[in-house]
Amino acid sequence: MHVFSNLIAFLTGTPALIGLLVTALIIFLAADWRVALAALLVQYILVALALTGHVKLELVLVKLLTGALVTAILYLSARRIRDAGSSGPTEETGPRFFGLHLGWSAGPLGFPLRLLAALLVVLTTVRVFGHYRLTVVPMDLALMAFWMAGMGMLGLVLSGHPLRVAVAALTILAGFDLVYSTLEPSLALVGFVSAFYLLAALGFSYLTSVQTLASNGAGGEETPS
Amino acid sequence: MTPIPGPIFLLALPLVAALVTYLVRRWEAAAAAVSALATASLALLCIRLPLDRSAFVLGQEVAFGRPVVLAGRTLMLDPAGQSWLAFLFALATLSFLLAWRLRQGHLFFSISFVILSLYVLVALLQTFSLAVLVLAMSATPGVFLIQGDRPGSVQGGQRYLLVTLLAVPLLLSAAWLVGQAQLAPENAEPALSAVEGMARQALLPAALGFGLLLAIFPFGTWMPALAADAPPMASAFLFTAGQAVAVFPALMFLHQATWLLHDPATLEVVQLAGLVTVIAGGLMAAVQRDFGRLFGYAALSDLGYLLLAFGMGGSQAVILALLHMANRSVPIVLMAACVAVLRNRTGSDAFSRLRGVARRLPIATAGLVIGGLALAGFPMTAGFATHWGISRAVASAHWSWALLLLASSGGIVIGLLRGLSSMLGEEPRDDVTRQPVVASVLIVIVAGLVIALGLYPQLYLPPIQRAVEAFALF
Repeated sequence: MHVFSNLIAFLTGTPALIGLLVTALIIFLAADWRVALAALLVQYILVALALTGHVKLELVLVKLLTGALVTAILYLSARRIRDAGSSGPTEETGPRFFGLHLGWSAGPLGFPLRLLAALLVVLTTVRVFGHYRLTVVPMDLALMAFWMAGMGMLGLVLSGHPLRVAVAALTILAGFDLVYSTLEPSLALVGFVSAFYLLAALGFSYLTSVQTLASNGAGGEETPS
Repeated sequence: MTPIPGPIFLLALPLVAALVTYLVRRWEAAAAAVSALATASLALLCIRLPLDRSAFVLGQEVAFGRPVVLAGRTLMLDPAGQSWLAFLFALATLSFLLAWRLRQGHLFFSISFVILSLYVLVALLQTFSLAVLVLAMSATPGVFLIQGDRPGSVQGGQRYLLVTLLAVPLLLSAAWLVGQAQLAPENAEPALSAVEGMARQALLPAALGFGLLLAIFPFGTWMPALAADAPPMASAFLFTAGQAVAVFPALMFLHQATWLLHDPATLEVVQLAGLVTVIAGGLMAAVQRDFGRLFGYAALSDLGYLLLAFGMGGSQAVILALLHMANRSVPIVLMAACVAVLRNRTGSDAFSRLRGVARRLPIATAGLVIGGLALAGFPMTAGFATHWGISRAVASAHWSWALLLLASSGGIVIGLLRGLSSMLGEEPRDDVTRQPVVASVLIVIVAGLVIALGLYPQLYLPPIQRAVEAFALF
């Protein structure tokens, strides 16, 4: 038990923040929707871990549960449309590893250009946090929130499919949650925010299904890859 | 017997109506009748029932003004919320009646009631942050409403969901900053500049957040996308009721940060945003090739006047803005109903596919023209009085702006004339069935209301004045 609590205490610090940095990057760069959704789930777990030192444990658990449900909603709808036989051309033809698509294209930009765009966000983040003055939010949390918001915005700009837009938008919201939870740790507010996330996921899940139905009808224009 | 608290009554009735309309969704006449009856009754109750004492409704005692505590949060109907809800329910009645003969998706009525119950919650919640979150939650059923029964493009729904979603972090941040500024001790001299600084920091997220929620240019691109994709009455519902509810938290926010209403720089920025929205909407309306997008851009342009009015500052300006918000709803509903008739009868609203249609559908054509002219602020229509009042006030400070407003109205008229010239073509359109009788009668009634509001623009003035007084902004 002691070892477990020590491990949690260790993970809540720098490892959680580095994990958030990596997961946001994976969400943006990953070509396979399963990798992006897995990274989103890990991101929610890491946000909860990062918050353990700042808010009550029950609030952390609510956030963890919400994240798991949000990911499950998106996964189920993506899985259903895939089972309905609507996998896209990139998934059919690209290289695979353990069944996961390893192609370079996700959205309109290829991998090198997406990497370049991510580098721009890194530079912006470094520039902004060179002059960080806000004392109410710990700098490490603010830095991660900014990074996640930046990567999420890039994802929004460069994605058209509802599933990719959903993952990008939820990354922005998770980044915001990282900061806002430390400022407003009220249970009622956390409850409303969680309900809002779940409904947003439901909305995107519905749009993903509708888009795929339309694509199937039109001969498969665009599917999540 | 203990009287039913008003908030419970107002929240429960739309949800019950949602269930009933879902059960009878296959019988559209029954669903429309139940929906219109429920919303008309709720509108009447909001107008007639007193807040300071209980009254009897169908033998049951209801205390409309009694607060309710749910999960530690107080839900209460105040005079501002009462006026707002009366307006929303009246508007929903009009939309439901028109949707009776203009199919808008088999779940239109039940989803609209779910959205209405969330809108009621926005008006009942006394906390800005929670009101914003509930408003954002209403975007999800909104997406279902937008898609209707179509498996087609999701662009409109996706943009609508996204802008609402992105507004939330911005508005919650703004609310937190304003809250911190209010917590600071008032008489501590050194803290005063820090308080002011914090309150000023709230301005940027608040402006961006409300810009997204209210569809101010350049964030308003979802409006034409919605008008092109979604069932027209669903678009009209979100352009009128949805945007009216978005104004409610905006006034709640201003109530917490009243200094914003006295800051000339802030007011100037609001007016500038309004002007840009008006011009962008008007210019884009002039070059559209279908009535759906023309309707979206005309509604967007008209929305800019709301900001221009808010930016004037003072209680009269807020009254004028809210009067404009109420008056614009009717022409928007009228235009949406006419676009729905066109799509229903011809399968399209593109100018190129409507040649000669005016002869087959004269009432829908006339309704489109009247609705469009009202959104352009043409005399003798619902839009004229407030357009005129706002333009005059704007002209007194910047005369060049008044010319730009006039040019923008010209853009909407040009768009309408382009569509009309196509519809008035000589081609025989035997493929188009004759105009629907009931829908045409309803369109004539709504068109009459647009003209009546042009003649008596002050029709909604008393409840609007009550609402502005209740917000106590000045």
